[in-house]
Amino acid sequence: MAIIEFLVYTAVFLALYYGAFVFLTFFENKNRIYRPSVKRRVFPFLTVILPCFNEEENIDAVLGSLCVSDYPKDKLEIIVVDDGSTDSTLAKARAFQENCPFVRVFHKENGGKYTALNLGIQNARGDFIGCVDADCFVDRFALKNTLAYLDDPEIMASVATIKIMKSKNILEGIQTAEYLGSAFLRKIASFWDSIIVTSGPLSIFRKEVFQKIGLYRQAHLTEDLEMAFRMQFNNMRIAHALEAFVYTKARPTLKSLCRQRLRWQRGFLLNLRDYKELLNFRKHGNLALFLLYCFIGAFMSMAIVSYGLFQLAKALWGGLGHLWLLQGDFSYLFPREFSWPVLHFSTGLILNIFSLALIISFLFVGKKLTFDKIKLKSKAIYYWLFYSYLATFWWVLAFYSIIFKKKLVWG
Amino acid sequence: MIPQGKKINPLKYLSVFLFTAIIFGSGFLLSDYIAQKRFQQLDVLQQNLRTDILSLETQFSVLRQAPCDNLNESTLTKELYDVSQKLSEVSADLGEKSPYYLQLKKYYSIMEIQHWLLVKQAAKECSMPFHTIIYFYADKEHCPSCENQGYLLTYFREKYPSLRIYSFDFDLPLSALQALKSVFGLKDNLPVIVVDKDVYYGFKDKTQLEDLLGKYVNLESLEQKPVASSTPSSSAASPPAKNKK
Repeated sequence: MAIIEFLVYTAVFLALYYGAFVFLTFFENKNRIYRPSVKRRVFPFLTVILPCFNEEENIDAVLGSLCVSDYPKDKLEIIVVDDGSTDSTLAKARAFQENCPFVRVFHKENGGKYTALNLGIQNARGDFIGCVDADCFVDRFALKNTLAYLDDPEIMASVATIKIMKSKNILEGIQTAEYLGSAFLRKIASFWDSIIVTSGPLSIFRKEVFQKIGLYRQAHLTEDLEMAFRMQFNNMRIAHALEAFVYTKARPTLKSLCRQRLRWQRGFLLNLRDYKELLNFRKHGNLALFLLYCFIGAFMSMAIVSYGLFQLAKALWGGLGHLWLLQGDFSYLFPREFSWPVLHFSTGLILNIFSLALIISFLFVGKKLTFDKIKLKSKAIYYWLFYSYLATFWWVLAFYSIIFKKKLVWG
Repeated sequence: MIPQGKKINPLKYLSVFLFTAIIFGSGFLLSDYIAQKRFQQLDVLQQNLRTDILSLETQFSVLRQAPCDNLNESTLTKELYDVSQKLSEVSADLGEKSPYYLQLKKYYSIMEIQHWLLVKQAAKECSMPFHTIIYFYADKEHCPSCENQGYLLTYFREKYPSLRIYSFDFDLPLSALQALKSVFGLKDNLPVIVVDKDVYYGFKDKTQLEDLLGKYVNLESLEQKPVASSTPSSSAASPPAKNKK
């Protein structure tokens, strides 16, 4: 009991500490949240790579969004790399090519997303290379806004803000809230030079990044995370374009969401093992502490949520015991008159309310900063109710998968 | 070269630590403040109880001179129930070993004994249909089955509103309680249930309890809430028979 109390208090203190650090950084940099708009006359040549595997349902939307992008078409090329699709992806891409002369289509044997990206990079003509996921929809101004951060010669890559297209159920609503909060936190992490993923939906790199540190790798099925780790390892700076939006589809079912997050969390742990040097705070300062915070947080959340579930199971077991005592008289289990439960405002509860308020504030600040118009209240409540359990479950899956060397497929 | 953003600023880390410590500390202070407020409420409740006891004693005196239908112990029963609820909260907050909690528990036990005496006397002198159970429990180490017995008795109190159940901690160092234990000649074999003057040792399940009570009273008659002013009020509830009070 004492150990779990200590864990809860430590976790709450760390959460509050992180929150205070986030908001302090936010206020320190409140004039640098967005890139000042500059009317430019000269645009660099930009190559956007679109790796596809069986994306016949999505390819029209993503190519359409890229083709109408607010970017000079004589300075833009879109490379579609069909990674051995067995559906009509290739035919649809070629049909697009006929109307948009700046679209180039390549076809290869299936080899995984990273091989498709690398083929695109090797054939890119641009000095700047953007990578876009095929199941996304790129906002009209996203390319320009993301690229604007690369005006700073020190910035080697720039990542866009990812949003959920439309949420149709509770699970998708939770992801919508999560992505808004993540947008804000990623922006803050960029001020610490601690962005740990050059996200698949839209990231733009200087071509020299690949020349200096190499092409994409398989990287435990999280090539975008590994690329960011490798860049950080080489002290290459990554910016976050909060005002550049790319829309992705939420995972509609628990199973598909769990598969995606298992891949992400597992990739995080395995890539961290491969780049453990990043945990050296003498060499990587804030980034090392941030990664350590994520790592410790995973263990803490697993311990606390496990304890919570144990208590819940104990209460359910007790309920069954009572039913047995009453010899099946269900009526007594339900109160005859409704009365509000008495809340014990213990220190733990009050501190938990503080940290929950902090988490919810991340979501609403994220919404405001990304100019989002969605109704967030109910989504934030679902997020508050379920997210910690879901995230902990994903960590458990990831650790289980690593310890028992489970083979993972793309999901 | 390490980018500027990655560089650790010790002063920033320290100032955030201090700020967090203040927020964290304020959480402790706030919970302490709320606990103090609750204790103050408890003191008020105790004051009310004292007044009610005095009123009850006066009622007894009047009872000797006046007809039995002047007796109304419903307010006192309600107050006793409120105190038992508050006691559960204090127990959850401070722990069952807290001296403050133990003191309140003793006070509550005395109130229960007084209430039992009143009901017993009223039943005898006014021929009122009061039915009482005295239940002795102890903590889990001393009596593992007491928790279940307490739960069942609480169920009985809900199911049979006319039944009065008085529960006592067997190990509570209280002379009044010792006196009650010696009146019935109780042995340390818990849980103990006393109905009328008969003592029953050991855990009794639902059927056994119903059979046992059936010897003394028609259980169906207990299911109806009393309506006459001379009997306990329908709104009154006996003190709960949980073992954690």
